[in-house]
Amino acid sequence: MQLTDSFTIRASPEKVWAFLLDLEEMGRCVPGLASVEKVDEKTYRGTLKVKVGPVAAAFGGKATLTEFDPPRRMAAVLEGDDQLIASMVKASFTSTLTAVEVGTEVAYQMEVSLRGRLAQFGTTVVSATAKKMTAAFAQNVRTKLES
Amino acid sequence: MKVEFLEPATLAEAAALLAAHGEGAKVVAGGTAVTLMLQQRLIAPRVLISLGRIPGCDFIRREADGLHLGALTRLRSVESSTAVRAFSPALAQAFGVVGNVRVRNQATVGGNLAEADYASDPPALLLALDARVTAVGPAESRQMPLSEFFLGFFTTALAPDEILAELIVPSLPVSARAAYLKYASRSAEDRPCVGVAAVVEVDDVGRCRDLRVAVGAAVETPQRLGRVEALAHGETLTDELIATIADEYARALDPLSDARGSAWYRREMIRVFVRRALREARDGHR
Repeated sequence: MQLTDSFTIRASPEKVWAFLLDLEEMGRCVPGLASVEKVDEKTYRGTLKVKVGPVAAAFGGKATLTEFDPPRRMAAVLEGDDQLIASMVKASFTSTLTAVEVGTEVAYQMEVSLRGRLAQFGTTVVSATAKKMTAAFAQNVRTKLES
Repeated sequence: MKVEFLEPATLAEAAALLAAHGEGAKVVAGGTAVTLMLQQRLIAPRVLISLGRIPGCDFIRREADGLHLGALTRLRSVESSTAVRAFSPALAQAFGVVGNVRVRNQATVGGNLAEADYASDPPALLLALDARVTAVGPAESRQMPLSEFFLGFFTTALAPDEILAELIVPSLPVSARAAYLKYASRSAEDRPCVGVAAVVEVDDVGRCRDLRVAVGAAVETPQRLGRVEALAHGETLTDELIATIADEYARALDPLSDARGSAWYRREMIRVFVRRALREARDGHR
């Protein structure tokens, strides 16, 4: 499943980049992120709670940075699993920041493979949920950076 | 894991239990949806709150403001009710095409709406009929139009401690006609790939007084486009105008992709079935 989305922030790419790397601040903007910690320079661990209607999942896992080109581009591999409804997710994630007239366009591309019970719930529902989470994340970042 | 099975005696009591147990609790009415999710282990509630023993929630009543359906009324009862058929044949039909007869004998009106599965038949027609619902909480109840009820996939405007109690369908003027068309792309018993509801009311000289079109199953929540519906007001509903409206729905909606059809395919089927539903509502046949 391929997920792509983008949003614009009225701030410079440098400012947005610095913000995205600030775990405390950035973490608070991710809807459902229960915990996040830095393991080493390239590895992060965290727990993400996702709820789609009656179905709730709590993914615990890690993100490993594979590309790091400030303030333009980063790539990471995400791996996680959920104990509640026995599901596994693996994703390769690429994000680019582009300077635009009003500030910065943040775009991401994610190749997600989902296994387990959440997968049978349907990729349609999962991708729509990702879109909603991105919109909420963008709104939270805007509130922090544009004030 | 042990699951507690509770059988409250009133809806308010059920809502209070829901408030007390929070996210670990799940309401069961007919059980057709909940049982599937339990079997697939998508949900693992600690408490099941059954509405099965609550009296006075299984009814079909014609009142001054329209037709009232209790939340625990079985889909099969709606489908076969002479009162419903006299009120709106399309309404009986939309409930009669859900799943199969075994499902309809068990599934309830309230359950169908509260589950908010996008691939469902009644919601599109109910939206076109300007229906509203009553929700009961631990302390009070409130009404809301169906247009504000569906928020997204499997998500409704019901608060975590609210239970859907009643569906109210306003009466249509005698000169109005409604139609619901279900398009199943795989097998006869399947959920809809696209469902389209249309309501058309024309005056004595054949001009459109009211036109409503709701598209369901192809989109996350059933959708009406007021701007497009308004194109018909005061106009004669010709085949050309119907085609224009169908094209606008196909263009403006953002269909989803799943095993029943791709977004591209669904867009084309929206075009076809909006046209057919409007013709049926106008002529009484396709």
